[in-house]
Amino acid sequence: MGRIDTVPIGPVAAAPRLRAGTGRAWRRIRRIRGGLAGALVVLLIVGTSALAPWLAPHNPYVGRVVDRLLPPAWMEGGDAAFLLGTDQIGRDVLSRLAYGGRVSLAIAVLAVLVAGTVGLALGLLAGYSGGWADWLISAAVDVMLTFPFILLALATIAVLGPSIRNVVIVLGVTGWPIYTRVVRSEAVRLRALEFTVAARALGVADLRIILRHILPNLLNAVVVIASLDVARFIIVEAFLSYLGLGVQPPTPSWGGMLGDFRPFMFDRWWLPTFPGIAIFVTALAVNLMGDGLRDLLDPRSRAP
Amino acid sequence: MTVVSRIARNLARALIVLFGISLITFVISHVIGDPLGVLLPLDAPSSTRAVYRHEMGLDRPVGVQYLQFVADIGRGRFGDSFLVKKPALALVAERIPRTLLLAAAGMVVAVTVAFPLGILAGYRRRSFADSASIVLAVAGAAIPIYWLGLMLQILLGVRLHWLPPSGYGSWRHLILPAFCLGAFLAPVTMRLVRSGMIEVLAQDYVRTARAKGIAERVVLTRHACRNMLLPVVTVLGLQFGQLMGGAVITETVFSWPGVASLVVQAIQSSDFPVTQAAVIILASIILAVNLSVDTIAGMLDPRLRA
Repeated sequence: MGRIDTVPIGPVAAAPRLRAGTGRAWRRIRRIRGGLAGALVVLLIVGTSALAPWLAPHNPYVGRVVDRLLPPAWMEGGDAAFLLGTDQIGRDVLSRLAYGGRVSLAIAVLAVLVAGTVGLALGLLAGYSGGWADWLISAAVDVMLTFPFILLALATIAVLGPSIRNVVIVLGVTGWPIYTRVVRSEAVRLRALEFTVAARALGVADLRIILRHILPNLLNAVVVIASLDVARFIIVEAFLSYLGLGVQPPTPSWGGMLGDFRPFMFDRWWLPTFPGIAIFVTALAVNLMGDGLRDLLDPRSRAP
Repeated sequence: MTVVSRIARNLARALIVLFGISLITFVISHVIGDPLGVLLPLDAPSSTRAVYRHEMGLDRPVGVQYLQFVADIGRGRFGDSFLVKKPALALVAERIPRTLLLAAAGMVVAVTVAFPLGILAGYRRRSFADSASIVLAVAGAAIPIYWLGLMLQILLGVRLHWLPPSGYGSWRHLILPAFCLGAFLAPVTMRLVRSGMIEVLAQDYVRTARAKGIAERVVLTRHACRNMLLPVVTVLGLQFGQLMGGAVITETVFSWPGVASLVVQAIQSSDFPVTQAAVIILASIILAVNLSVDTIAGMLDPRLRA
């Protein structure tokens, strides 16, 4: 979750001994194979979540008390109708996981949009205009990045009250500084380059320079951070929901299920295991995809 | 830049950050939140509310309230906890050593894993150690440590009975939380060490040393590792805030009675004085660590003074 998680690390790609022509393309594909695998898993998870109403075997909100706390189907006492077993009020765990994915993914993506937009705007303002706006925004970034992000999120959500909308707001409001820092330094660099200087000398309006010359050149970097941030926000959202400060019952969410299942850790280990695997696999796939995107879009930051 | 001006600049930065943190805390507790909402029952008559509002100074202009807030903090007056009739500052103070103990233990775990692996991975690129380090970095960044903690509790605590699953007391209680926090920190540290190592090994003085026929072991320890160490340790020191973020999660999962779990409890029960005291004290500790790390690094490494 740290900032320097974004320190690039390259996948090991031993150069294959192929003919010179195909070698290049092959190396390129091999280099991003982790990213491709990640993208595939992400697609699978997004598909499952989006199609949950049609794929899920049971209603995630309704359970029968007689079916409560069934173990997974392959364990003794399991029921083939409930592949991953049932929860404390008899609801199907698998169906709730599928529906929980919709909530987790939607929150993370929306929050990234909020954080990315705010961070991008502030970064452009600070980097392009300089002066006191730059000083103020940089100081704010410094404050936000010095202090643990998770504590700010916790404190704010506790005051606003737990709800899906507020989780999005809190993640967005506390997550922007990373974008601002990167965008600002890129904007400062781009502002000094010949094509921007030339545009300014020709009397092109600032807004037009920002939109036509600066923004397109730093969008790739933003897309890479955004993709990695989706994973970070999924993990943080699940922690908030785990503490009861995020998505509220009966809406299924991975973090909420983890919190609900925690008391069962003594005799039913599988209950807290499943939602965690869902969070871990999703975050892993998103991160792999993000690393692959970085290799494709942002060759300068590639690991040596 | 001289050492003195470096310290002065860092102090100024720390003050600005502290000001920012106090502003955020104030906005969260006084502007978005309402302390009276917690102190008084929902059906309290409006006359009672008005009396309290006046007594706590909540009827004064926001700017004045903020100045009062800062003045109180400056004198170490955070007020009494809403829940326990004890000064908030005392509650926070008694828990600080436990959080620092956990942080130190987690740091030890992370460094023990990350340094050898990172050095080896950076030294022998594309080797097994390098692949292992990449797996650790990628998987480690994706694993939710609150879940990792829960799994450790179930496996080692509940099923195997090797260690107490949670709580505080003997050194045995420290192992699982320290491992968990270490797992949070290790991937980041490992990446830093690996890329630091790669950078240092590409330097001219390393090539010169090798050309002179110095034993590879000596090149590695004296020339490479020594030069890699300082920047890595500096960045790690500046990441102390992130370490505290990890402590928040770890302490909550393992019911470790430190500052971080106190803040989470205080936040959940809207205990504003304790939240404020803990946030300000935590921020001060983080800034103090950042400040000293940066200053010491500047004194040790003349290159950083540029």
